[in-house]
This record gives sequence, structure tokens and C-alpha cells, in this order.
Amino acid sequence: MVRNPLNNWLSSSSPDLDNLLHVPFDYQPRAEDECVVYCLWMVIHYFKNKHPNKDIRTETNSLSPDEIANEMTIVKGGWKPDQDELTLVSAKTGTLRFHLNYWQSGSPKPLFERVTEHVDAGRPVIPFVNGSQLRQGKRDNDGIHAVVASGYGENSSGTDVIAFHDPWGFPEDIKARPKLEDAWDPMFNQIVTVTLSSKGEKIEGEDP
Amino acid sequence: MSIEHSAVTKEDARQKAEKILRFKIGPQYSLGEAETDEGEYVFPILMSPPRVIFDETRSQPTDVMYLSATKVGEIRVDREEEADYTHPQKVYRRVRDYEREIQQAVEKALISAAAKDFTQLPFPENRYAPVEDLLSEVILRGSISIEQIKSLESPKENEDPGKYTKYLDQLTSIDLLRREDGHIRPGNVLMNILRDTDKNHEALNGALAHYFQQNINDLDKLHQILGPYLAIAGYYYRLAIVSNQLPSVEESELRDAFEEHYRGRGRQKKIKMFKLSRYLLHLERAGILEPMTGSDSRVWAGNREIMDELESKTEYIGVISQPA
Repeated sequence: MVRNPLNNWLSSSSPDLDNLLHVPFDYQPRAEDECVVYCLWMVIHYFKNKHPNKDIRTETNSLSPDEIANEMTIVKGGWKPDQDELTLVSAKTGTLRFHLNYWQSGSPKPLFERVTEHVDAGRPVIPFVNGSQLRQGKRDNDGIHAVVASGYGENSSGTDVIAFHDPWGFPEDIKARPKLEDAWDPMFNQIVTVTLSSKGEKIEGEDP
Repeated sequence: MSIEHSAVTKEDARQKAEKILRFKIGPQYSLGEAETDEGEYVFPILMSPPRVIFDETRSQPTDVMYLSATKVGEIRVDREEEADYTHPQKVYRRVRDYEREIQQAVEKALISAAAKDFTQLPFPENRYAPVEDLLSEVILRGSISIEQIKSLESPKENEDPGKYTKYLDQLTSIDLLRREDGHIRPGNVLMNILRDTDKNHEALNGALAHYFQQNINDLDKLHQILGPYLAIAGYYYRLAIVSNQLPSVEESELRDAFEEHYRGRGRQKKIKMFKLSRYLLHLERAGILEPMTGSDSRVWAGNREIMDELESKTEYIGVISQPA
């Protein structure tokens, strides 16, 4: 169910952020298992509708959540991570390449650093977080859940913050860095990143 | 050699189990504390299904709650670091069973809380009429001869207890009716109901409400009678319990939930879908749901008295009314 996806992003009342990508938001009512599908949908539509390069926007194929889900194995309890499935989705976009990253012994870089690096390069990222740790400050038996990180900055007390869309229906969320990093996939630090495909790179390279 | 003294450490075993959990089972599962069993580390696979909670208008999510954790499988890692685990399809089936149990708990609570309201619904003739026939006859005429009941059964039914005899047995077992001197007369419960009202139709409704409440643990039977009504009302009041309010639910959402309930049942599903509007109007007439005009579509809301009653049925709804 898509409702005004292009009109929902961080509002003017949000704190100043050093960098923020205007990623369209949508959520999946009554489909808690499909968070990653909606995250991919949001990222694709950022490139399709909001990316600064007009040719990238034109050449990126628009995919619906159903079209994305058709390429993925969504089971009872979410998506079993599989790079091959991301590759299939990537191929359909034409300009993008999604990458599955995880480190069981802990990411060599903190989440904040990964977010800043990718957002500065104009690319949102999809970290996986433990929802109860993120929202209630205690880890329960709820596994992990995908969100889209699209910006970063500092709040008024000088703490780093990360802006993200939660496809369980919480757009424009901003959390202090320690909170999000504590919740970042406690087992694998899983994160899906996106780069331009060779076609996308070529288009970007041609931009005057 | 015990597992504690083997080459594989508990931490190694957990890491192995985590990989299986994430890449073979799914991301929303977690591992419980390991136990040792016959030279193996055994990790329970736990699941707390998430539920997004919406505001009263069902347009804005307000929270995420997790149902109480339940064990849905296990991963075993031996001293050679070889692993064995519950088949993923079995895990998913257990989660679905768990969710079905929760839905059934809501339905039981709903029947318990709103039995009298359900008696206002019209029921399919073929399923339910014998219960009403027997009770109505005894309420209006005081008794029925058992011979008369037997004469109503078809020859085929006479080989088994016929449908009237079957329902008669049920009604006597819950003290609504009793057998006496070759006749069927009011049982203790029906006598009390008759004492409390001078309107025969109210007595019938009171008797039916008792019948529903006494059959709470036989949901299959109640589904034969209340099936579509329970599916719709059960869906709505489950949302109400989880969100602790009476939400306004779009009719399309009720339609989706109803379709999901009858998933994969072919022609039967199509017929049920065709009847949904009628079921909704019946639920409205019984005061169980109320239609409201939303901004651009019709929405449905629940009944405050039923909700208050439901909230007192903690023996049924504890698992979903308390955060995990």
C-alpha cells in the first residue's frame, strides 16, 4: 500500500543535520516480515525520484514492493539474507547494485562511520537493528529488523545523531548514535549498502 | 568426554548456531540460553512475533509490541562443531500455530465477553437450528417427549444419534435441559434464566449465551455456528486488545483479514467474500461492530462495553495484552 511516498521525509522541525538525503518513505501495514522489501523500495525510489543527477533518475527503473518481493525469499520471520537475491533486485533497477555486508566478530567500523561515509557519497544504507533495543532500551527475543539510514548530524547537546526511516511506520526518526549503535544487529552487524552499477557509474561520469 | 571438555567452546557453538539461525531460519528469531545434552550444546530458537500498533484511526503507527517469546525449535551443536537443527518449515509452522493459538485466545475471550451479543446474530439454518428448535420448544411448551425427538431424526441418523439427539445431549450436559420421565424439560440453568425474564425471546438468548460460554473450549464447534462472525469480530477485537483502544478499522482491512482467514479454500472462499457485507451488517445489528464514515471510506469501530468485558478476561488474553 503506497501512500504519498514522495511527500514524506524529514520535516522542517527536524534538527539541523550535516547531511540528509531526502529518501521517500513508505511502510508496510500488517506485513512485519517485509521490512527489507520496503527498505529497498525506499532506496530505489530515492535514486529514481530524488537523486541529484537527472540521468540517474531517468535510467533507474522503478520497482514496486511486490516486484522486489518476487525476487526475495520472505519467510515467516523476515528475509533470510542472501546476496544472490539482492543481485537479482539490483539487475532490475538498471543503475544500482546492492551489497550484503555482515561481520560476526564485529564490524571494523562503527555504524555512524558507515552512515556518514555512504550518505556523504549520496547513498542511503540499510542497517538491521534490534527493535526492542532501539525503542525500549532492552534487548528482547525479537531478532533484527531493517531500517533506512539517510542522514546524520549533531543534536543540541553535541551528540551525534542518525536519521532513519523505519518501515514499521516511523518516518523521520532521529536517534542518538549510541542508541542506534547499541541496537545494530547484535549478532552480525548486518547492513545492506548500495553503489551504482557499471551502467550507473557511466551515467554519473558523464554528468558535466 | 562431556561437551564442557571438548574442543568446541560454548562461544564457538553459539557462533555456529547464530549463523544457522540467521541464514537458514530467519532474522526475527533469537537464541535462548544453551543447555548441554548428551555431548551437545542445545540452543532454543525463540520468536517474539512483532506487532505494529496503530493509532485510533489506524493511519499512524504509534508503537511496536512483541508477543511473549515462544520456543519454536532448537539448534544442536556437537563437540565436532557439527550442527543439527529443526527444519525451517517446521519452525515457521510453529510460529503460525502460536499466532493461531493467540487468535483462538481472543475468540474465546470474545465469546466469553460478548456471548449475549452473539445471540443476536442470525445463524445458518443447517448448523444451528436444532439448538434453537429444542430450546424454543421447551421455553414455549414446557417439555418435549423424547419419542417426538426420535421421530424427527432421519432413518440414516437413527443409526447414529441423530442431530437433534446429539444437540440434546449437549444441552443436557450443560444443564440447559434435562431428561425426566421420557420428556425433555428445562434444566437448572434454563429455569434460572426463565425466572429472571418474562420475555421468551430473552430467555432464548440467555440460553444461547450460556451454550456459547460453555463451549468456549470447543472452538471448532463454535466456528461451525459463528465462523464468519468470529473471524471478523475476532480480528477487530484482537487489534483493540493489542492497542488497548477501540480503533477505527477501514472496511478494506476487515475485508483483507477475512480473505486471509479463508485463504486457499477456493469456491467456499469466494462465496464467503460475497457474503461479507451481510455479515458486517449483522454484526452492526448485534451491536458488536459499528460503522462510521471515514474521510474517504467506511470504517468500523467496536463496542466499549464488550471491550471492557474483554479486558477482564485475562485468563485468555494475557499473552497479547502484556508486552513481552
